[in-house]
Amino acid sequence: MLIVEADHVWKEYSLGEERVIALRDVTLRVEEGEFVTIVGRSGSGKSTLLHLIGLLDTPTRGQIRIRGRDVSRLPDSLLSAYRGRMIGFVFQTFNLLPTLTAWENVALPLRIVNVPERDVHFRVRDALERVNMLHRAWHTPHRLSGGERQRIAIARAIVHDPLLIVADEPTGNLDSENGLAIVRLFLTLHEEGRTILLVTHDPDLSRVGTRRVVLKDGRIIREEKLSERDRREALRVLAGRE
Amino acid sequence: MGVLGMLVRMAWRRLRADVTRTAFTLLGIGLSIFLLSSILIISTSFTASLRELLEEFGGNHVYVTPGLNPMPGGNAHVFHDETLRALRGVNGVREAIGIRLAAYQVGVGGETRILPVMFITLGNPSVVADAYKFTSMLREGRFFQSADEPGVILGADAADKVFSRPVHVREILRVDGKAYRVIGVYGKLGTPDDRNVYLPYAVGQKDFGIRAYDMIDLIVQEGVDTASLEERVERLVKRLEGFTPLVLTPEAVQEEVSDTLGLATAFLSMLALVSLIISLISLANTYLAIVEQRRREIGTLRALGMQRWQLALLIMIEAGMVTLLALLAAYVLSILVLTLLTPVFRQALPTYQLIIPSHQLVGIGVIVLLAAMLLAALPSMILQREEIISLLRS
Ligand SMILES: Nc1ncnc2c1ncn2[C@@H]1O[C@H](COP(=O)(O)OP(=O)(O)OP(=O)(O)O)[C@@H](O)[C@H]1O
Ligand SMILES: [Mg+2]
Repeated sequence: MLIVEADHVWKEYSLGEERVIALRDVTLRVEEGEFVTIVGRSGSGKSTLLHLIGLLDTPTRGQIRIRGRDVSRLPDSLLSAYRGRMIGFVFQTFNLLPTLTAWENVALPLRIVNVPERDVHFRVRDALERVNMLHRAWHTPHRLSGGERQRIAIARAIVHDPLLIVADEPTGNLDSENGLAIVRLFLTLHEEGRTILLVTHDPDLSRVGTRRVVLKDGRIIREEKLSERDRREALRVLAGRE
Repeated sequence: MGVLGMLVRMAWRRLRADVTRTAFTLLGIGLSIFLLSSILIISTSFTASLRELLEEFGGNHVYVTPGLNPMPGGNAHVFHDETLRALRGVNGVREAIGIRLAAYQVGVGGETRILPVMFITLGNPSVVADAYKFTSMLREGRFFQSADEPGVILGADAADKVFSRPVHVREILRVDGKAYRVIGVYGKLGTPDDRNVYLPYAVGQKDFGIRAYDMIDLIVQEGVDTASLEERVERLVKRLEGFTPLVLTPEAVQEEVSDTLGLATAFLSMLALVSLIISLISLANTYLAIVEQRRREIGTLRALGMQRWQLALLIMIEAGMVTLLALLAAYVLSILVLTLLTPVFRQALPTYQLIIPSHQLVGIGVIVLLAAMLLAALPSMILQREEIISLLRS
């Protein structure tokens, strides 16, 4: 089933007189259960595309559709509601709230939409167990390592069972060992049936998904399905880097 | 817990994480609120206590004075015996007391002081004693028994000033070289009259050659129409003395006192208000900085689906908590300090009682709280116009 699609999307930034076209006529469809990676050089528009699909920004032209509904021109309050319920974000810089404990950070997406506290308890517990961080639930982020923080961030991205998990260079701030652990975690989440959209500039990492999209100068220049063998090979290469 | 509970908890965590900033914000707002509430409490207490004093002491007095336009060398106008006698006959007047105030050297032992001496006519000594509360307020001794008794009564402060020790009736006091026996010491009234030395007017006529009154104090009957009395007195004095006097009814005196106090309060409150406004502006400034500092955090919360109003509410709750703390601390502190100061104020005004204008304090608290929350939310609202990705990128 089609979950999200970017349909002939353009994104233009204007800096005073100058205009930067970050995306040119990009069309991308993500089916339920897919693990799509977007790869490309720095400045190719990867993050821009991710932000549009993650409803953090709106396209200059074209449509973003979630389950067939065009959401690219919704008012902010509705867009926020969609974002909060449908999308789970994982950032390169973790973006945990420093004054909240790991548990409270994970609970945020649920509490923002007023999920009953009993459910919050079970779901946060479950999410923290998934990322194997339940034992650090009452620690604040500054007491956790980078890898641990990213696990908490991933728990926060899955706790509300979003349609789509979007991750922008989730291993970018981690050493290769921790990075690999996070990649494995994404693979597990995918095996559990979650849909993932992951951005990276690392060609090896881009092969761990089920489909790979190559961006260049704001255009999709290649799309390829990845086989089970491609994935195992990619993982082997990543593991060999240590 | 829900959204609101979460927001409150987040705000509280933030305050605790930024202890220094919280402390300074608290101090800034707290101090100006402390000033404002103290001024308010003091003025309320003083106004009420003064009113009580006036009611107790001057409820049935109407003062007839030459007016408030003193010429060089003193008041040009004075009242004469004929006027005093005529005033005694005015309907509604129980007694008219002629008063002459002059300053003389007063001595005891080797020491000499300049003290105001008040000569009062003693038409009916017991009525006069009653009118001036001499009967109930005498600390020692007794009141004059006849209109020309050559004795002296000391006001409480005058007694302390001249003798600097407990005074005893029958001691001799020299007024301008002439010797008088102390027959009584007045209790403390809390008015400038405490500094007076009292002598019968008849003695003044004989020993000091005084011939006229500076003021006439009318003791009026209960329930008399003071407005019509005022008019009749004015006409009578105009006819007899050739000038229109200033007639001060109890209502006028009260109004005068309230007006003066009100003016002082208004002025002081303005100052405190300005300081409050300054600290509120600096609060807005603080939150501008806070919000700038938390751009990424705000971006993250928006990415997680938080609505703009929820974020604004988060900041408002945070500012509201600090302000509420500051308010409570300031109120408690000012009430505490003023309670401790009550004995000091009582020295100046014996009827002084601490009165806490709780309605006004609550009103001010609510206004300050709302203002602080709005001012704090403003920067966050401006910031939220920015796109989420630019917030996240910071
Ligand atoms: N807010 C903005 N204003 C102006 N130009 C922008 C803005 N955001 C992105 N761009 C430009 O759009 C282009 C694509 O940027 P984007 O961040 O999507 O690249 P990227 O592929 O994610 O790069 P990287 O791998 O370095 O993160 C770049 O040329 C960038 O300079
Ligand atoms: Mg990027």
